[in-house]
Amino acid sequence: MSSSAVDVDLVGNVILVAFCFDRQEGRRGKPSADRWRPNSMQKMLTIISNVLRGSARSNGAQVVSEAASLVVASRSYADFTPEATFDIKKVDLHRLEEGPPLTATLTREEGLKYYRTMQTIRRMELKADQLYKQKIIRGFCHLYDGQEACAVGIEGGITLSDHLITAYRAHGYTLTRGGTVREIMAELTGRRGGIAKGKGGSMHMYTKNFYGGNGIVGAQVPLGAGVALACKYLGNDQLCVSLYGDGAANQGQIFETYNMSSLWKLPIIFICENNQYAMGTSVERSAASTEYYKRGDYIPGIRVDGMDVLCVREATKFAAAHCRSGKGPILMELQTYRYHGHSMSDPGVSYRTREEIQEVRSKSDPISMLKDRMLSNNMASIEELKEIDIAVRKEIEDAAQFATTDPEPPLDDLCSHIFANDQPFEVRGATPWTKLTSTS
Amino acid sequence: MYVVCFWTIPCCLVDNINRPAQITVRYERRSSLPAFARRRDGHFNAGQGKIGPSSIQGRLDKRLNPLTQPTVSTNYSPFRLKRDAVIIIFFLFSPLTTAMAAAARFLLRGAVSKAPIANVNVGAQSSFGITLLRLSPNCSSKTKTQRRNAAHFTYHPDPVPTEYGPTTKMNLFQSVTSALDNTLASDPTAVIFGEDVAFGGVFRCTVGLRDKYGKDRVFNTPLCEQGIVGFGIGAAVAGATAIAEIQFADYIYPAFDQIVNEAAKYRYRSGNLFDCGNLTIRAPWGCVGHGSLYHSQSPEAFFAHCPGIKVVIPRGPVQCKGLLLSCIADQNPCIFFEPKILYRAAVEQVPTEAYTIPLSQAEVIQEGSDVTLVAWGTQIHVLTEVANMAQEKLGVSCELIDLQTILPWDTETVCKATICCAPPTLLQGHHLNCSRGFSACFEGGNILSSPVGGQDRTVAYQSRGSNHRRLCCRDQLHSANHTQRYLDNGMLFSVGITSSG
Repeated sequence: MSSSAVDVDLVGNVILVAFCFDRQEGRRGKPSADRWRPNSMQKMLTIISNVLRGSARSNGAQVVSEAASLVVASRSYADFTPEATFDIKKVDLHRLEEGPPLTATLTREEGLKYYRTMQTIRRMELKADQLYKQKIIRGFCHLYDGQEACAVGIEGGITLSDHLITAYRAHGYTLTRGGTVREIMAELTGRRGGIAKGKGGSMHMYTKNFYGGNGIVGAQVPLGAGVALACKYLGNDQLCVSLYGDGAANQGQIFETYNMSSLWKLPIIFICENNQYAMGTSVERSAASTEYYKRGDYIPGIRVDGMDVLCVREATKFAAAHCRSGKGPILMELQTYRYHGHSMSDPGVSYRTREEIQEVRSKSDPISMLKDRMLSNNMASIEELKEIDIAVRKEIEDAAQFATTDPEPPLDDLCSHIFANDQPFEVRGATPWTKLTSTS
Repeated sequence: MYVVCFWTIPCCLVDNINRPAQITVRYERRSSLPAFARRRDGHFNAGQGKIGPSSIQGRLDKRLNPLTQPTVSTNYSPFRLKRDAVIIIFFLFSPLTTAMAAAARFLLRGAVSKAPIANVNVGAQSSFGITLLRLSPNCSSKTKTQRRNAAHFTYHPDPVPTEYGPTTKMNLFQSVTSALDNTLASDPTAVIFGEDVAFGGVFRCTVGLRDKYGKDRVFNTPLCEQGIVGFGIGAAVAGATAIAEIQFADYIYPAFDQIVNEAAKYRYRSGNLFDCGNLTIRAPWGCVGHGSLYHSQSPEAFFAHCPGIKVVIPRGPVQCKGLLLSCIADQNPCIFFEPKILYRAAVEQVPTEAYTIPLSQAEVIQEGSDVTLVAWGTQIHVLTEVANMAQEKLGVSCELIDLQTILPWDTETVCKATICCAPPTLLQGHHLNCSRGFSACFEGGNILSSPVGGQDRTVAYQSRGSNHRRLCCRDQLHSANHTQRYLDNGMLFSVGITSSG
C-alpha cells in the first residue's frame, strides 16, 4: 500500500511539473474552452485530477483520499491562475445607452477575499440565528444570508472613503464597511464591546462612513441624499450609496429624494435590494410596477443580478463612475433573495414555498457560484477554500464566545448621549425623586 | 393634619437600586424553541430563581386584598396545560436529581405560590397550570449575568359584563376582530385596510375578515403610512367607513401631517361642509419588552394637543371592543391605540354582540378617598396593583381612574375625584418617558384648559393646595437592551404620597 502511494506521489509530481508548464503558458486571457485547447495528455491529467478531487469532495471535508491529497498538496501556488475573466449577465438599462461591461476580471486575491467575506457573512448570520433561538440575542434580528453578493459586490465597486447607508438588514454591510465580527455579534447581544456600545442592537450598527442600520422603512434614503450633498459640497469626489428594499420603494420619501438628488445632481447611487418579498408581501402584490430600476423615472437605472458578486461589482463600478463624473444620481436594482424570513420571528415559509428557497439555494447561491468559478478555473484549490471555511468558523465561534461573555453596558450608560452637553445633566427617573445622570 | 412623605418600594427592589428587578416575564412571547427548551431557558423562571406573579407579593408577605379583582397571571390554554403535563411526565421519568430538584423547588416555593393560586378564579385549568408550572425544574444552564431581566406585569381582568348580552372568552386581538366583524356586518360601507391586514395582520386582529367579507372590503396597502392615512381620509370624506391600520404606532409619524393637518381640520376649514368623521385609525401601542426603539412607542401625547381628532386607549378586551365600536361610530376622526402587550395577555369575557362604551368618559375603577391615580392602557393594571399595595401596606385608599379617552379627556371625573381627596392629591402614571407623557398639562397641579371643539373648559383647580405627581419612565430613548430597565422603573411599584396640612 505504501509503495503504491509513493508511486502515485512520484508519478504525480512528475506529471504535475509537466502540467504546470503547460498551464502557466496557457493561462493568459480567457481560459474558456474555445481559447485554450488542451492536448490529449492534458486532457488525461485533467480527468485524473478531477476524479481525485471529486473523490476528495465526496469523502467530506476531513477525509481526503491519500492520493488526492498528495497530488494536490504538491501543487504550489504558482499553479493557480492569477486572474481570470468571466462572462457576466447583461443588465437591463433605463435611460442609458451603455451599461456595465459584459465581462469581469477576477484576480485570485480578490476572489479569495470575496469568498472569505461572503462566507463570514453567511456564517455570522447563521450563528446569529442560533444565538437568537437560544435567546442570547433578543429583540429584532433581520438576517442577510442569501444576499451576501450584494454587500460584497458593492464594496468591491466603491472604496472605504465612500459613504453607505442602508435599512435594518445591515449586518453584512457593517462587516464590509469595516466592522469586525466580534463587535457585530457583541452588538447583537447588547454588550459593551458592541459596535454601538450595546445600545443599538441589530438594526443600529454604525462604522466610519457607514450610517447604519435604520429601523423606519425608507427613512434612510433622504439621509443618504444629505450625505451625498455633503460629498458634493466638500468636493472630495466621494459618493453615497443609499440602499432600500422592494417594500420601501413604495414610500413617498424615496420619490422626494429622487427629485432632490436629480435636481441638484447629487453623487448618490440608489440601490434597491429586491429580494422579492416585503416582509410577507411579494412584489407583485405590493407594487404597481415591479421594475424598480425604472421607478426613478428621470433617473437612469440598471437592473442587475444580485446573486452574482461580479455582476454587482461591475454594476457598482459603472454607477460610481457615473456619479463621480458629475452626471447625478443613478438607480440600481439588485435582484437577490433572502433565505431566512423577514426577521427571526418570521418562519419565512408562510408566503413562499420551501421548494422555492431550495431552488434558489441550489441554483443561484452567491458563495457556491463564486466557489465554482474559482475552482473550475483553477484559481484556488478546494482545500484552500476549506481552510478559509474553517478559519471563518473559528472566527465566528470566538466572536460568539466574546459576545456571550462580555458584560452588558453599565447602568450609567442608560441615559448617556441623549443630548450633546458639556456638563452632565440630571435626567428624571421613574419617580420625581430618582435622578439619573446623562453624560455626553 | 400630619405631614408624612414617604414612598413604598418593594423590598426586592430596594437592594436592586442599581439592578432592576428580575422577575417573571408574564406576557406571551412567541418562541421558536420547542416547549421543553422554552421552559428551561428561563422564560417562566426568572433570574435569581424568583418565580411566579406573586414574587413581589410573596416577598412582602401579603395576601391579595379579597376586595380586589382576582388576577390572571398568564393565559393558560389547554395546549399549554397538555404541554406542561408532558414536561412533568418527562421529568418524572428523568434522572433522580432532576426530580428531586423539581420537588425541592416546588416545596420551597409552595408557601409563596399558595396565595395567588387560592385567589385565581379564572378556572381550574389555570390554577392547575400554575401548579404544574411550579413543578417544572429550573434547569437553566445560564449564569446569573446572562439571565434575562424582565419586568413584572399582572393583568387584572374586568368583571363579566351582563348588560350587553351573551359573552365569550376573548383576548384583546380577538375582541378587535369581533368589533371589526360587527362593523363590517352592520355597515356595508365599512372597509379595513393597512399593511398585511389581509392575511390577518401581524397581531392577528383581522383574521378571517377577508374570507368573510371579501377582498374589496379588507385589503392590503403598500408600505406607505402617509398614503394609508391620506387615502383613508379621502375614503371617509366620500362616505365610506374607513378603518385604517398602522402596523405599529411607531410608524405613524409619516402620517402625522395627514392626521393633524388634514383629518383634524377638515370639518372646521370647510365650515361643516365636509368631514372625515368616518375615519378610524388603529395602531398597536406601547412597550412590549423586546420592541426597542421602533416597536414600543406610545405617541398619544403628540396627538393629544390637536383639536379635531379623538385619541382613545383601552385597558382590556371589554373596553377595547366597546371603545373601538364607539370610535367607528363617532363622527370625528379617531385614533385608537391598542396596547400590544395585552393582545394575548388580556383575556376576558367579552360580549359577542356590538356595544359601545361612551368616549370622553373616564371610568372610576376603584373608589378611594386619599389619593387619585389616573392612567390608561397597560398602566391601569400596574396601578391596580399599586392601589392594592398602598391599601395593604400603607392603609392608603386610592381612587383609580381609567382615562380611556385621551383627547378630549374627561376633566369632570378627574377633578371631582381629586378635589374629593383631602387634600387634593393626584398621581398619574404612564409608561412613557417624562417629557413625552401626556400630562404636560397636569404638571404643576394645574389642569389647563382643554379645548374641545373650540370651547374652553378651564377648571379652577389650583386654588386649593394640591399635590400632583407623575410617575413615568426615565426620560431617555428606548434602546434595545435597556428596555427592561426602562420598563422596570417605569412600572416601579412606588407610590409617592404627600399629605400636607
